Amino acid sequence: MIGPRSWIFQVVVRFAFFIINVFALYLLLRGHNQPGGGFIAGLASAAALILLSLAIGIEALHRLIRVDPVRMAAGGLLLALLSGAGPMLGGAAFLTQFNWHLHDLPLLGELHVGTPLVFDFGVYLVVIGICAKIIFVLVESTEGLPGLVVEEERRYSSPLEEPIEERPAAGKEMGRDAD
Amino acid sequence: MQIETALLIGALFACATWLILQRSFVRILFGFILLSNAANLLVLSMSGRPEGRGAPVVGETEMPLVDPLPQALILTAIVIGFGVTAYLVVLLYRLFLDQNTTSVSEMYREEEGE
Amino acid sequence: MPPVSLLIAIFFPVLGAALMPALGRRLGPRTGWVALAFAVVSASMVASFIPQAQDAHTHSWPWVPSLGLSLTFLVDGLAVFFGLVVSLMGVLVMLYGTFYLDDHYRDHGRFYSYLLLFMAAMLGTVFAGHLLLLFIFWELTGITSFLLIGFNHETDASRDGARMALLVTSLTGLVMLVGIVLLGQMAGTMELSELLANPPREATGLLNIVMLLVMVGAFGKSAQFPFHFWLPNAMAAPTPVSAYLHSATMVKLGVFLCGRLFPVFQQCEWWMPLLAIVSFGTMLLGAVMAFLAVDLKAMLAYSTVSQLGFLIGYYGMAPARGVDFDYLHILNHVFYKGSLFMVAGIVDHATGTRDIRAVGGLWRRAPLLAVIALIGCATMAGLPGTTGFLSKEYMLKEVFSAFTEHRILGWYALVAIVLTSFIKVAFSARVFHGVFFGPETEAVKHHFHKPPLGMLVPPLLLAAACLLLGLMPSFLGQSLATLEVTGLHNHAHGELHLWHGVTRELLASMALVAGGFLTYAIVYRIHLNDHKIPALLRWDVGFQRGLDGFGRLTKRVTRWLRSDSPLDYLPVMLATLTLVVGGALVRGVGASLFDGTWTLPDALRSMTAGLIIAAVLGVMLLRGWIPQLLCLSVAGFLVSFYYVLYRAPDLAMTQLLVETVTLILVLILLSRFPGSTEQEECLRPLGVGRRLLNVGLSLGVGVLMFTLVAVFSREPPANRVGDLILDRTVPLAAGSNAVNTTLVDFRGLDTLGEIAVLVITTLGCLGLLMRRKRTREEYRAGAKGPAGMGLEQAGLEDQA
Repeated sequence: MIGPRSWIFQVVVRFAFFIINVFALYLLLRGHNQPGGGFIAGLASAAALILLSLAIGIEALHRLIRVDPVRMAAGGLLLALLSGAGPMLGGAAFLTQFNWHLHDLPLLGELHVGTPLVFDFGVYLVVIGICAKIIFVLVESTEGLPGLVVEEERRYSSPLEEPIEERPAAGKEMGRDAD
Repeated sequence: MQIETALLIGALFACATWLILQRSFVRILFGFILLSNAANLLVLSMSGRPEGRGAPVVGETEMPLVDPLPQALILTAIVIGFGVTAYLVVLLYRLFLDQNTTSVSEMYREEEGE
Repeated sequence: MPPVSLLIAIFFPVLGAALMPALGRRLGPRTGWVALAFAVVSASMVASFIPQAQDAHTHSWPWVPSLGLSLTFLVDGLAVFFGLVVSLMGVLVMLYGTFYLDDHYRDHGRFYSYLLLFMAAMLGTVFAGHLLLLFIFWELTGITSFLLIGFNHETDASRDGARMALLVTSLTGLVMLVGIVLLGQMAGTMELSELLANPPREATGLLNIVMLLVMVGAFGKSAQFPFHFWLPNAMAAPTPVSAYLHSATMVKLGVFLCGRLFPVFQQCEWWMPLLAIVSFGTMLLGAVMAFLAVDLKAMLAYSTVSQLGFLIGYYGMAPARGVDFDYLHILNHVFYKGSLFMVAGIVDHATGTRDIRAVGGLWRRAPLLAVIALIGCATMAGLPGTTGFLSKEYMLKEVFSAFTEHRILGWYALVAIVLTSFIKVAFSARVFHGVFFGPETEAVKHHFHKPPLGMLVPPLLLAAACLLLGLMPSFLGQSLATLEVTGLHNHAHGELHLWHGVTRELLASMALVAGGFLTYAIVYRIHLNDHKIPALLRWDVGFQRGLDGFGRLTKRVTRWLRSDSPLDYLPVMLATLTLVVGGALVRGVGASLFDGTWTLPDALRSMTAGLIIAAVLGVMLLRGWIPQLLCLSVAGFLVSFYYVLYRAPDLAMTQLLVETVTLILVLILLSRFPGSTEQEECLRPLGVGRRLLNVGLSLGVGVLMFTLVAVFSREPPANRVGDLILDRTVPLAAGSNAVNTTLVDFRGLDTLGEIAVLVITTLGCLGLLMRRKRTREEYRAGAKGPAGMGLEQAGLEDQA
């Protein structure tokens, strides 16, 4: 599934990657008042990432973007949670949102910012993270699932994952093998 | 009454059901994707006829606006549907690796033969 | 003494149990000394209750007031007696265990932790003042016993024995719970003190059933027929455990329960027959099996089963005015069986075997051990000068009097007791002679190493008690009399005496001893050691087979009822859905279905819908996965256009992007499946019947959904939540896109839940790909092992 590694394709895709991401950010920022928002922006950014990965390959992308998409998603979830939990410090209910209007900004003109944007940004990160991770994992698995398993296990596994029934101490198992 | 939407939804559900009842993993997956589309349209049809109404963005037009609630529901449903589809894809891949087949009946035959 | 010392007695060992694992890692075999300290504290606290044991005291602490549950403890003679047995035996066993579990063992901390927990559970059971509390502690003893029997869980015997013990004791315990609840209902209270003071006045009917249910629990715990088989299998436990749980304390719980509830159940008309028939039968059976067994510990276990049978049957035969010398019989058994178990453990420890055929001639190498065993065996046989003699004298005396009172049951009891005593003498002779006399066997010659002196101390103390108390009957009798309980005991009995003159009991006793020795001498000559327990009596084997068979049966039933193939369950589900919902629809709407206002279909929407349907038909009819997938994608993109027509720009954008990502995802998946499988699918279509069924079901679902939409979109809804949102999106959420404000503000919690689900889904996907079962070889090859999926894939490509 790795796309044609032609130079033109790579250049075009790199360019498109930035364009799409800028557009996605625009969608995210205007989402509150116009069609758009975290889900759409996240999907757009994820599509851009996937496109880039098809052009330059997953390895190169890993070198380019160091953060693991799952961590990005987890970070987004945490951000959304914190933006919801923040108002609780002030005694407000969970997920209470606050808004402020900013006037006369350069380029953007009128902009309102508020906790909904933080929340939406969390959604954005989650959507990018999960789309990118699932696609990357599936793509990587063509190039040898073994390598992927080792890599991901190094990253996420714990000693507890080792199957209990196969602990070397189990005398019965060893005995049966000896038979 | 939105006869065309009702027909569309009925057709989509029928096709999705037919696909899900097949033996092949791939067709079941396709059926599932169709089914989530059909369900989304079903919810959407509850917002009533869109004629003479505007998109649910306040202040753009003087017309009455369509119901935003089904749209919000569907938006999350689409994304969740994507998540479930992705899970299904990975699950089918994993099943294929373990069972070495893409057919449901093959899979169970193997298990019974063990 | 303040009642708090009771809490200390029970819960101080729990504290110790919590500390043991950490200590065990540092101290190793010396952990036992710390455990010993905990046991000593607990025992001294129990002992402090002796002075006030004449009267029953109830101490209560609130526990779950809303349920009417409280930590109620009843302190009376019976509880203090059993508490002393439990805690003092605990002290001796901890001491013994310190020497027994030497460096060859592992996990000392865990062992003493379990042992202390068991001790706490036992103390809780005997002091419990509330039936439910008693049950809870009762089951806790079963669980700790399970852990202790399975301590060497690497061996099959331990695991099987532990499982058997847990199943038997906990299942019978559950039966007992039913009895307890019923009893509580009948009496109107579960507080033991009130229950004993005012037992339900009903001799027949329900109380009989209740008694039967409760006694099933007691029989299970005390290994009475038909539950007798678990105790010998529990001998897989380390010997300190066997000496403690399976001779001295836990198996005595059934006896304790009989004593505890004696005033309640004594009037039942089934009480005497049930206890007498079952228990005296078990007594005889156990004695026979003990005589036939060859494993030293199993022999002792069967003999314990036999003795427990006597103790329970003793309560059954007791007259209504109360029992006389139950404490004597119990104490006698604790002394000699505890010491004999410890001796068996020392023999095992010193020679490496417990098979009585593989040891012999030990008296020259371990004279002190031989003396201890001699006293133990003499007590078991009931030779004069030991507590065993006293016990047997009074046992015979009571059975002779019972024989005049109860006629047939009396005969039965008499015959059983005479036969059992007779076999027991022969058995005692066999144990002592087989282990300490005869030629030295290979195991003794090659493996023997002298047991540490400290290990001999606990059995020596127990043996000394047999001898000294046996010689001082009046002292023993007076001490035990202080612990007697009104309602259970007959205070009017006389004092214990060693010499009654030449009575029929004495003569019978002498005859039994002589006959027993003679039998053993004869049997020894004809090499009984080659004999085995007949298969008919090996219920444990049957139990194991039954358990395995049960597993197979459930597997077969599951297979038969399985519904995990979608080809099997989906048609059923869909048909049910169609029939139920469709039926409701027809009933509810009926002919008025098409009464609504018909509007002309919108041209653009109709065209799009037609295109979508065409694309979907392509998915169904085209051959090959890639064309089907493309059709599916086309349908998805057209649906996003349909959203546009429905004035839903957010949805259209989302759908567009999701469709793109899904397309890539499925393409990657399809590229994984070899082309051969795709062709194979085309070659093997479904059968005609199945296809017709599928078509019928699909049409049914399609028509149902069409009708649903047609019915429910007839009229625009009157009060829409959406209008509220539209009104308030700017003033409340400061955003004009009502869809987005719904997502992030009005229904923010839903969105939060959704993104959490998405993250979990991704982790699940990762898990599916990462967590794969390695083969044993892969596991052996290293912590991570060589990657197996590569191998599988290579194999696949070869096939393709």
